[in-house]
Amino acid sequence: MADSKDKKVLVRVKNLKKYFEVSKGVYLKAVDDVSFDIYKGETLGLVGESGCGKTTIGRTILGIYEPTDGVVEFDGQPVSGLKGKKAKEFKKRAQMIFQDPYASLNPRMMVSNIIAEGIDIHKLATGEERMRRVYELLEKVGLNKEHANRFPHEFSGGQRQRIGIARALAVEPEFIVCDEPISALDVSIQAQIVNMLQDLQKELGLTYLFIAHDISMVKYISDRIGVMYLGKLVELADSHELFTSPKHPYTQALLSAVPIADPDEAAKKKRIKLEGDVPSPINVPKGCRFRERCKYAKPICAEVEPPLKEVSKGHSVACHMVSEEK
Amino acid sequence: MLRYIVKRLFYAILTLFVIASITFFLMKILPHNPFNDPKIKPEVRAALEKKYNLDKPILVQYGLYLKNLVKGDLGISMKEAGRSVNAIIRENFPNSFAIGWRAAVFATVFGLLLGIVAALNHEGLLDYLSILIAIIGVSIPSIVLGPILAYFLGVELGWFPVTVNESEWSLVLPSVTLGLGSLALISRLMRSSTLEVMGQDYINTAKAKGLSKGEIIWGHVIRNAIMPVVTVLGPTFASLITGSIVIENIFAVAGLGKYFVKSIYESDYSMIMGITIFYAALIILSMLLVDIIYGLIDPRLRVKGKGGK
Amino acid sequence: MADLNIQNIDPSKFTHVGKNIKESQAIKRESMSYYQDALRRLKKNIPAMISFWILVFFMIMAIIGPIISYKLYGHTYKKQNLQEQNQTPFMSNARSITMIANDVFDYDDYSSNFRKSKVTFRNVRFKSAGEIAFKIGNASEESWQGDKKEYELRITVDNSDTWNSVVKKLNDAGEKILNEDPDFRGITFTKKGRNLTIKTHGEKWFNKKYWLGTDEFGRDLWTRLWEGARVSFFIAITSVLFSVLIGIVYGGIAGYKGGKVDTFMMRIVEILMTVPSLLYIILLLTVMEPGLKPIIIVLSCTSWMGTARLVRGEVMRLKHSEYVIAAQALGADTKRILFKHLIPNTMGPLLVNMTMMVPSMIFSEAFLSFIGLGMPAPFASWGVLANQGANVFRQFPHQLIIPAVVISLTMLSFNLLGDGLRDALDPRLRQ
Repeated sequence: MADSKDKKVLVRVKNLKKYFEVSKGVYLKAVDDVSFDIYKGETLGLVGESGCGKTTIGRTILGIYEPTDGVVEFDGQPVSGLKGKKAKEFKKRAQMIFQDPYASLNPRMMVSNIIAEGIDIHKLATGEERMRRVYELLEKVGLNKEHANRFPHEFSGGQRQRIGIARALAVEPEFIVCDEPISALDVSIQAQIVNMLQDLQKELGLTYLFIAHDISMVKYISDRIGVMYLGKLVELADSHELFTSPKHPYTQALLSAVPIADPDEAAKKKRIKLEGDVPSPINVPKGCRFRERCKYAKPICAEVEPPLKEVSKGHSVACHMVSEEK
Repeated sequence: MLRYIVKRLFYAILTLFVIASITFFLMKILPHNPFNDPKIKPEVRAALEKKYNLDKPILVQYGLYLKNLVKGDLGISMKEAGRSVNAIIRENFPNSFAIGWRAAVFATVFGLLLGIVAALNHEGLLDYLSILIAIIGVSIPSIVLGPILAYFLGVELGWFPVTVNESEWSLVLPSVTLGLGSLALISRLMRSSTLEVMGQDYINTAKAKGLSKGEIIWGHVIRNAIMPVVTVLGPTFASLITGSIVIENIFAVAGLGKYFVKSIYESDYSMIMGITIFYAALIILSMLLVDIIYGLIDPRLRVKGKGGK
Repeated sequence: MADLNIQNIDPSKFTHVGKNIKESQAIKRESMSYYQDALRRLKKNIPAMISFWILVFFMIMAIIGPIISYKLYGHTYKKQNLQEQNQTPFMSNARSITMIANDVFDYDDYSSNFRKSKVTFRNVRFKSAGEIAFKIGNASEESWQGDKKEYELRITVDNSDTWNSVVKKLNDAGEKILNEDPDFRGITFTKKGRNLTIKTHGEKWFNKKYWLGTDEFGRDLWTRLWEGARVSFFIAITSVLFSVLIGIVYGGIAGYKGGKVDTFMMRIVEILMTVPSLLYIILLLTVMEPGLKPIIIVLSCTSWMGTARLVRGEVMRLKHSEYVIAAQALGADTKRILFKHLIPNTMGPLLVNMTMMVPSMIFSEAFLSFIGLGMPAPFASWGVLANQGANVFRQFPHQLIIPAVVISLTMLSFNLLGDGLRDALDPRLRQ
C-alpha cells in the first residue's frame, strides 16, 4: 500500500446521505453524511454491524437508490441522475454481488439466462457467441458447461454464489460492489469464494467495495478498511494500520472481538465489551452517535458530532478524543 | 386502545357510506323502474313519482336519501303501499336472527371443539372426521345441502320438522345447514392453528416443566391457537347473513332473507336497497365487534407498527 | 474380529482417490425447470390427480354430452315433451303412496294418479272393529301392472288390534293373494311414525331414451346436465379470467407504485372486501337484464379484490428481492423486470388463486339461479338445474341429486386440485 495519492480515484463518495421515509415525517437515516474514495484496482472493505448502512451505501453507489443528499462520482462523473444510454453505460462498468445466494437468483430462469442477463440487456452478443461467453464465465467461476441448462434450486449455496459472480462478470465491469458475498455461506466455502474473488481481481484488474460484518475476512481481502457505525463512517485506514493501531473506540471493540487461533495470544488479549444496544437509526442521538456506549465519552461528545479527520497519513478517525490525543 | 376503536369505527362508517352511495346510484341508473308499467296512467305515475321523490333532481334525491339514512329511515316499499322498509325489517328480521345466532353459536362452538379434538387426535379417526366435514363444508353449496338434509332427516327419518314453526326443534335443521359451512372453515383453521402451536418450543418447555396435559392444552395451546381463528370470525358471520337468504327459502322461514328474494322477484327497488344497506350495516357491525374483541384480547395488535428496512 | 488391529491392515489394499473438484460440482439429477418439478410433485398427489381427471371428464362431457344425445334421440336442452314428464333414470312400475295413517282408512275411494299409472284402492274403511276390504286395480281400465284385473284384500280386525298387528295382517293378506294368483305382483304395507306407506311391487328397467330422466317439462336431463356444464364452466372460467385480469392490473399498479398510491388503492379494496360480494352481485344484477354477459361482468367485477391483494403482495415482495435489484443493477428496464422477473414469479400463486376461485364462481352462479337472478329459461346451467330439482325434490329426488353430485364433485375437485397445486408450487417444500 504505497502512497495512495498516486492512485487514480475510481469512485468518490461525497457527503452522501440516504434517508428512508418510514411514515409521514419520520425518517430512517440509513446513511448520514459519509465521504470516502475508492482507488482504481484496490479493495476497500466496509465493516459494521447489521443495520449500520453498509448495504445502503453499496446500493446508492450503483444508483439503485437515489441519494437524499450528496454526490457519488464514478470516474469523475456523477452517478445519480444518469439517464438512458449513459445510465446503461455506467451499469455495464459497475456491478454487484449479493449477500443471499438463494434470493439473488430468479428461480424461474435457467442458469444460462441468468448469467447472460447482462449480455442480453446490453446486447453484447447473441446466439452461439452468447452461449460461448456463458460457458467461458462458468469455467471462470469454477463451474462447468453442463450447469448452463440447470435451474438455481439445483445448486448449493456456494455454487449459486459463483453463478451470481458470473452474472456480474458477464458485462466485464471495472468495479464490483460485493455486498456481504460470503456471510450466508459455510466457512469452508467462504475461503473458496474469497480466493476466487482475489484471483479474478488480479486477472481482470477489478476494483472492489467489499462489504462485510466479519472484520477478519475483510482484513484478508482488503487494502483499506472503513468502519461504519449507525450510518456514519467512524474510521478509515490501511488494512494493516487499522489492525495494528485502531483509533476509534468502536473499532477497538470490534477488533477485540476477533477470535485468535493461538490460545496464548488469545489469553493475553483483553476483550472490550460494549454496553447497551445500537440506537435506532430513526432516533439518532445528538452529538457523537457512539457516545452512549463509549467509556471515553466527554461532555463535548454529546454536543458536537465529531467529523472524520485525518490523524495520520491515510488514516482518518471521527472521534473527539482521538484528535485531542494528537 | 381507544384510538384503535375510534379508527375502526371511522372506517366502518366510511364503508357504510360508500356502500350506501353505490347502492343509491346503481338503483338510479336502472333502465326501468316499477312505475313505467304501461298499464299505469300517466297522472297516477306522476303522483307516485312525487310520493317517492322521483321527480326531484338526482342529487337532491341523494341528499334526502342520505339524510333519511342518518336518521335510520330506509324508505318506503314500492310494492306494499304505505309500509316502510323499517317496519318490514322489524317484522321479519327477528325470525332470521333466531336462526342466525343459533347458526353462529353452533358453528363457533362445534367448529372450535372439532378443530382442537382433531388436532389432538392428529391422523386419528376424529381428525379424518373433521377433514371430511371440512370437505363437505366447502364443496356442497347450501342450496343443495338444505333440501338434502330436509329430505333425509326431515321427510325420510322424520326427526325434524321440515318447515319452521314455533317449536325450538324446528330451528335445528335450518341453523345446522346455515352454520355448517362456517363450522367447516373454523374447524379447519383451528385444527391447523392448534397443530402449529403444539409444535412450538414453548409447548415443549411447558411439558418439560412438568405441567399436566390438561394444563398445557388449556393454558398454552388453546389460548395461542385461537387467535388466528378470531380474525376470520367477522367474515364468517358475514357469510351467515348471505347464507340465510338461501336457507330461509328452503325451510320456509318468514325471515328477511325470504322477503329479500321476494322483493327481487317483484322488482321492489326501494326494498332491495333498504335490505342491502341493512345487511351491509349488520355485517360491518359484526366485523367491528370482532375487531374490537380481537384488539382487546391481543395486545400485540395495538403496538403493531410498520415493518421494513 | 476381536483381533482387528489397525496397525496390521495392509496399506496396499487402499488406493488414494484424491479429490476431483469437477466431479464434486456435478449434479446427478436430471435437469428440471421449476414447473417440471412442480408437475412431478403434483403427479404424486393422488387426490389432486383424481380431481384433475374428474374435471377433465366433466369438461369432455360438457363438449360431447349434448351432441351424443342429440345424435341418438334428437334431444336438445330446450325441447319439451309433455307426455314424458318427470321420468327417472330407472323406470319402475312399482308404485307407492304415503298417507297419514289415521286418515287412510277414511276413504271411500282412493285413487292415486301417481306418475301416470293407476293404483286404485276402494272401499277402504277402518273406523272401528270389523272388516277391512281393499280393492286393488280396476277391471275396467289398465292398472299399474299393465292388466285389467281387480284384486281384493280382506282382513278382519277387532278391538285388541294395534296398528302394528293391523299392518301385519294387511301384509299377510297381500301375500296370500300373491300365492293364489300368479298375475299379482305383490303389495307391502309399512308404517313409520304417523305415516302409512302402501307400496305395490313392480319391475325396474333402465330408461333407455332419457338416461338421466326428464324434468317437469319432459326435457332430457342428460342433455340439460351437460349443456348446463357448458354454461356453468363458461361462466366460471371467463369470470375468473376477467377478474384475475382486473386484479393483476390493479394489484400490479398498487404494488409497483407503492407509497401513497398503494395505500389509497388498497384502502378501496379493503372497503369493498368488507361486504360479501353476493350483496353487490344481487344489486348489480337487479340493475341489468339477466343473461350470460351480465352474469360474467358482475361476477368478475365483484371478485377481483382477492387477486389484487395477492398480486400487490407478490409485487411488493419481489420488487425488493435481490434478483430484481440485480437486474436493475445490470440496467434492465421496467418492461424486462416485469416480464422476465415479476410476472413469471407471480404465476404460481396466481394459478392456485385462479383454481380456488372457480368453485366460488360456480357457487355464486348457483346462488343467483336460486334467487331468480341466474340464467333465464329455457337455458340450463347447473344452478338452474339444482334450483329446479330442489323444488320437486320430495317427489323426484334424482332431479336434485344428479346436479348436486356434479356440482359438489366439481367444487371439491377444484378445491383439492388447488390445494395440490399450492403444495406442488410452494417453494418452502423444495429441497
